[in-house]
Amino acid sequence: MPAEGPPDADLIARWRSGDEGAAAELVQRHTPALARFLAAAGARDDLDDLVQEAFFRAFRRIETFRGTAKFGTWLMAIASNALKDLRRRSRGRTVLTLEERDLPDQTADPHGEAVGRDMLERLEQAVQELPLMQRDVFLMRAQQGAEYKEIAAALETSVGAARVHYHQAVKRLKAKLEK
Amino acid sequence: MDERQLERMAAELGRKRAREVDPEATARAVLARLRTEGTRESWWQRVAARPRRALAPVAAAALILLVAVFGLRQLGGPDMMADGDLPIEVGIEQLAEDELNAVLDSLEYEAPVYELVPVALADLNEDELSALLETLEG
Repeated sequence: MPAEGPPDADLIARWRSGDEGAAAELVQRHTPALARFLAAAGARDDLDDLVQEAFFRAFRRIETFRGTAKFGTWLMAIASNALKDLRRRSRGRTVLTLEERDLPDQTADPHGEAVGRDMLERLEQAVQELPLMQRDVFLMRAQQGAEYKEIAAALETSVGAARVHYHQAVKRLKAKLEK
Repeated sequence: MDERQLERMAAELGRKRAREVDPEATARAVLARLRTEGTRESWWQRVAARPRRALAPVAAAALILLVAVFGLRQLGGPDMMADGDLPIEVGIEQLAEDELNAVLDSLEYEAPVYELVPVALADLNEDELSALLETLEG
């Protein structure tokens, strides 16, 4: 998350008073991390739409943001719900192909690349098969580096429960990757 | 594989496709939608957006209320509550004697008439005790 520019809290306050420029700055600041989160959580061709939907929902309910979680983490919780809603509406129509998965860039080491591709592909598949809460907690922590406290605040759960979800996720992922 | 390796791999997930999302175009699209659809959600959209577990107490309360309404309707038959009447939660111990009788009347239940005489078990003879036990056993 970029450290440049005014803090999120200032931009949020400005958006609350109707400043569209502040909203635009928040979008530009948080889009890359949010897009990574959504892509890892299973967004495909709808990634652009889902990112927009998450910001749209967040800005419309900004008065419910109390600042107990970081704005970016709160945004991910909203994005997760948007993804869930979309999947519910299009259940059974999502078919993933190998080409659609997010694989690492080409490297100079064909063998290493193949192993890396395989592991990353399996990890992505395994993450998307986790129960939603475990998936969200795992990605917020392992991918985004969020603290348990802010994860708990964003997902409206306790710190203890967030820890348990994370460790259960790690256990499941390890078991799947070590098969 | 240890946890750190897993976290390092997780950090790579989604990176490539996320680069294809243009933050400036996203900002323009979001602002355009906010202008056309409004910057505030309605209350029901906010309620619907709550996580399911946060709605659980509300759902539980609604379920209890529904069960109570259904129970009262079953108890009193279709005429007991006219349309639009709201059930009022009242414990039976809060009813006066005539109110209790009214409830029993509505159930077409004839209450046995008991004479309230303070009697201890020790006051009963063997036949009375046997009769009491039989009534208790049904």
